[in-house]
Amino acid sequence: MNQKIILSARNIHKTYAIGRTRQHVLQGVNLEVRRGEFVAIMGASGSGKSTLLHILGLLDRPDEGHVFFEKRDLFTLSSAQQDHIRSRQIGFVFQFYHLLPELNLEENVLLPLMVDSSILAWPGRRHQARQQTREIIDKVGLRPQARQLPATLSGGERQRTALARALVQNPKLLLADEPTGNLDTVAGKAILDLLSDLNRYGQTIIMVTHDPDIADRADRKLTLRDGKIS
Amino acid sequence: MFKLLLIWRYFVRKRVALIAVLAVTLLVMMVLVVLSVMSGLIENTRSRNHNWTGDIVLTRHSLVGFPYYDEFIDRLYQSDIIAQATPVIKTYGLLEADWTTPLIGVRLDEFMHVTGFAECLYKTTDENKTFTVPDITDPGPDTPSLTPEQRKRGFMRGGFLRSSSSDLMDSIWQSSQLRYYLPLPITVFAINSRGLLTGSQAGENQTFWFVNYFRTDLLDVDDTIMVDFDELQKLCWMDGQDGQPPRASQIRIKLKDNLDLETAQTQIAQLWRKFVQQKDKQGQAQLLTDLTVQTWKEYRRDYIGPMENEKTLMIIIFSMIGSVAVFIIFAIFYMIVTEKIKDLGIIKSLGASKWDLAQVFLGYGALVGMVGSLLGTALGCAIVLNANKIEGWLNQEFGFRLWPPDIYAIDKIPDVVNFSEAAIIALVAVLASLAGALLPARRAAKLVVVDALRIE
Repeated sequence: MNQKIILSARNIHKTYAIGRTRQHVLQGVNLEVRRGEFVAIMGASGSGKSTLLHILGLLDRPDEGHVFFEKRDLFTLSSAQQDHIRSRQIGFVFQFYHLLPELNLEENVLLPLMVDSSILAWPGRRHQARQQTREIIDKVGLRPQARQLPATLSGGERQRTALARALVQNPKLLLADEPTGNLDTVAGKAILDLLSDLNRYGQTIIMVTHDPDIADRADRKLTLRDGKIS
Repeated sequence: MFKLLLIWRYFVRKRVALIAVLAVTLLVMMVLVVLSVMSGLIENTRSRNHNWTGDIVLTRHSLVGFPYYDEFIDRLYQSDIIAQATPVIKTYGLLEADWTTPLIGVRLDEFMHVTGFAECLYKTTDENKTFTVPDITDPGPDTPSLTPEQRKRGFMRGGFLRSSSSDLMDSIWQSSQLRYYLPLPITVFAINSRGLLTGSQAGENQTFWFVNYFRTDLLDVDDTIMVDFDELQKLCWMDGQDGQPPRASQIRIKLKDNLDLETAQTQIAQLWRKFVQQKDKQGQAQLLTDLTVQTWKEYRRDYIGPMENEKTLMIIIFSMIGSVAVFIIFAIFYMIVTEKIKDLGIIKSLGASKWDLAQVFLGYGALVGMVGSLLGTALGCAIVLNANKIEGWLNQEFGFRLWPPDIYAIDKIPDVVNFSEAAIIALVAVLASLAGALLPARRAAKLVVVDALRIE
């Protein structure tokens, strides 16, 4: 494992309005993740795990605090710079897969490469992009299903598709929000095996889970309680 | 690149978008058909009015007329602007005790060169292009015998029967029972240069003889009796028999080819002002000061203008109707954005910018507009080009005519598509679709990723 810190969060605060009340979900979270680490963040339901992950992945903004990715303060960057980091540097796997229903499996995995490419640049990049996509689809074992729409895939296949999509740009950091939460035991194990394999090859992973057995797969376990990491 | 993929997938898979396409198609088709027909009718009207008037008209709006018309015509020929000019007399006559009619006196040969009047004649042989009453080939016992003087007094009657077949018209022509084949006594009240009645206080009477019909499809003109200029001038005491210079009501002018109409008008007006100054000390010079020099468009403004205004009104009305299509597209796209908000959140989570998301919906709107415009233009062109067949079919099946020819003075519905107008209509439709997609696109751009992803 490379000891260099890839991500650090300082004094993260986040409050949500629920009805007329405000809930202070994150109350000064501090966190450091090293390159090549597999970190699991645990906590009860509603403890703010997903909120923290969204903030780390630039999908949400903290009310207070800083997130440094490779020493860059993410929330001081421009929108375009943040979009670029989300596109190329960070991969996100959601609990509910979040695949586009109108695109087939291969197109869903290709999507980050298309988002990252202009219309004019695409003809020159297309061949390599498709090659990259096929390699990652092979890695997750979904070549036969490449032309199928998400509605025709099983839960495990959809989550593997989502994982392939998150990895297609070789991101430096992979964030997984309850990746097995919507899967049966067998499918869930397959996903966890894939994550472990990826980490073995140097992929930095932060995974959120409420299941201690799943958290055991990680190198380090952190618990989010009362809005803080312990 | 993903934008084009998504635009296309949404277009082919979202059936509700077909409603938006249909709205655009129907609107474009409707506008194209109505504006094409109206443009055709306007062009028809302009052409007929130009054909009747010539290019430029000098007019004194008075039954008294003005003198020295032949002298000014000579000046016009010297100026090298005109191809032909001719004087005209316009007055009113009494045909029966309670029936007045406009009378017009022309030098027919010149008049046919200045205007397109020759095309308006019912019979177009050389012997029918004259006011000289022709020999009757099969005279009956009641057929009058005309003196050479009388034979110069032919008249042409405006507006032959529109709903009649040519066989019927020919038989009327040949029939000795035809009323207008008989002599037509006309009475006018002669007015001198001071605007007072002159000649016989009971009116000046003369009998004219039918020689031909004409039809200009201009309601005010086809209600006219046309006779020889010299004969009418004499009848109205405008020929100088009272010792004053001869008078006319108008000079009609045909310009040389390729001259700009307004520039020629200005030149002729300048020539006239100069002429008036030179005639300042001569008799009846006061009658020269209030002439107007008008282009044919200005002279016939009252007849062309309303149709052009109707077209403008149609464009305004259709713009309002078009706004309904914009709202339809807005509603459909807003619905699609709401439905697709999670997808948009996913795309944004992958690194798409706000502008990328907006472009998806703007592109979608443009595609709906383009497809709708193409279909609408194709349908509209098909309807316009086959308008007369369609009307014929409606008449045959249902006894229904959209434009009865005896009322609307048209032989057929205009069936020509102005392709530059069609292109403008199509472009406006695309822009309208874009306008409908604008707010939904803005909504898509402003979405917050986590809020979008929380939607189940």
